[in-house]
Amino acid sequence: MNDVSVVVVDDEPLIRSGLRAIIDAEPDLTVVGEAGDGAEVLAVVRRTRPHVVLMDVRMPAVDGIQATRLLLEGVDPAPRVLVVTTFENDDYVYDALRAGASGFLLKRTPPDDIIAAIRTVASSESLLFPEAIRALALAHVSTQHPTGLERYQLTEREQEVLRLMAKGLSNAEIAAELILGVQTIKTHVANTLAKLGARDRTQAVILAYESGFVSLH
Amino acid sequence: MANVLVRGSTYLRWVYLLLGAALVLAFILVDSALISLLNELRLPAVLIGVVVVLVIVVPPVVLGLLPAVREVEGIAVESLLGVHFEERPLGPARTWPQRRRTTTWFCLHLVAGGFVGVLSTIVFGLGAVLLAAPLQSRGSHELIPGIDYTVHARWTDYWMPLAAVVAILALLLLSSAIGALLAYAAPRVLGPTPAERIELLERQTATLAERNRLARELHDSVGHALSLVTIQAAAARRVLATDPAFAENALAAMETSARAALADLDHVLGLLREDRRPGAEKAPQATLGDITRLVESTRAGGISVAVQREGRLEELPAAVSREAYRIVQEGLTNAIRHAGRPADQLEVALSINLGTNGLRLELTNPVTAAASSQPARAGGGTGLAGIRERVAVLRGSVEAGLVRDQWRLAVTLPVAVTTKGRP
Repeated sequence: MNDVSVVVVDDEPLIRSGLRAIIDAEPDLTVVGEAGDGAEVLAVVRRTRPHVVLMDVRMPAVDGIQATRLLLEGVDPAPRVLVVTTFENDDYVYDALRAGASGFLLKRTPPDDIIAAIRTVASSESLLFPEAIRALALAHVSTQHPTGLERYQLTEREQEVLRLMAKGLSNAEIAAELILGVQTIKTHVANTLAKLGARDRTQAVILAYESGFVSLH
Repeated sequence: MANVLVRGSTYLRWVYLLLGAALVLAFILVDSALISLLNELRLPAVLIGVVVVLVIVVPPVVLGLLPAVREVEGIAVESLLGVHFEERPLGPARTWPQRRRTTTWFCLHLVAGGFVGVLSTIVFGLGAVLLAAPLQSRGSHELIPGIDYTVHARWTDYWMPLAAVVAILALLLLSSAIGALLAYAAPRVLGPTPAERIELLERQTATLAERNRLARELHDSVGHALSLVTIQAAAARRVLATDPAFAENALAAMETSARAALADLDHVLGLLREDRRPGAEKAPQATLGDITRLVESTRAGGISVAVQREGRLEELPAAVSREAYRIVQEGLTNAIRHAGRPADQLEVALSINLGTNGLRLELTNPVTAAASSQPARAGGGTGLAGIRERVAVLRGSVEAGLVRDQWRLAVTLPVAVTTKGRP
């Protein structure tokens, strides 16, 4: 795999330096920039063009949700955003995912898992922490009026692929499950995301949950 | 019925009524002395009637109006009548309606207690005689002057002890019933009124909200500190061999933030503990006189604090002194939380100056560039808001901000009364 470049955004310098040390210790990962507030992110990202941005949620001036929105609208191609939070039950996390973040990470996550999460998000081969995303959706989505996904006109195959994506299966795993080639699955995934207007798997899965297409229970 | 007789509450309620009776007895002793004095004055009968009524009614009513009676009756009613008030413990009367209600209750207690007391005296006084009647010699005996009883030395004599036992049982039933009535009436007469209950609930709600806020703040600040420690520790472990200097800095950062988190924990738990103590509102709160202890406990955390005091601080009005203590406390906590440097490198200068312009408190501490560029962390700044609130109440002024690389908090509180005590 190619080298993954990372920008670390956190208002606490010691969190930044800690994350930087953990990431830089990996041969294939490099921290190419830091920002102390959401307001600085856009400039740093435009200058450094990272694959992944580790984004703190709570920051004094511009918070992580707003900064994620700014990034995804203002930079092309947009980097993957991995939201970093202190507390699991932080309401902001789901907001950040809806705003377009590809996943989230707890600050207490062991360093090996932090590294693995960055690689997963960079490769976009599979959904990060499918169970945690389901739990967040369960807490935030009202399934009173399911709208379904009919209007996106997914083929049966694409619907199947979307369901398996929600379970957290990688392309290779989906291919094994459906007895198809990985390349075929990649095409299905790409078509599904395109039809849904989703930036990545996380967005597609959230849409699947919110529309009631995939049951939360 | 047998149930009533074996229940402990029956006897406790009887004791409560007898307490009322004892008070009645005390009043009667005073009343009788006054009334015999009146008789010698040879006043017109109507006037004597009026004065007698006054003499009997006024002392209990006046006594009942004393604030402390509410507290005392509250304790007696709770422990003897087994009533639970919504206001616990029932405090002394603070308002006139409370005093009026207390005196109503007090009079009710005296009347009911006096009644049961008289009955008890009769039943037990005569009951003892009647119980022993069959054992006495044949013939006529005096029960009370004017009423005799005859002992025939036959089985028919046993109606007398039987009557005594029935009378005692009846007395207990009656006093249990009266006690139950009082227990029913107590929350309505002596306890807080609906308006007071609402106020009480509002106060409890405010306390809960405040605790909630403290808990949330603690959650945030301790969570932040622990995240920082976790990440720095993880980083230090990864680079220990390759970058020992980084590891050393990480250890220092971990030490500082863990210590700050502990100080925060200590501070908030202290506040919660103060809350929980019964009668916390009345408990003596720390004043500027306790500042030495505060400074010493801050120094114990490795922070150097230079204190400079001027003026006769002991002459400050207690309210100002208490608030000043709180302000200094909040100021020190803020300094520790937001200075952005390890505790052992934190130097705080505190000056307390009481002069003709009032009380002036000044706290300065150097801050690092990183900390000064972001003075308002999420959840931060509530300490300063608290200070502003306290100062506003005392009509003082607050200045807080960066002066060069120093964070400076200056509070002036107007103090009018103290200047007269100055030489």
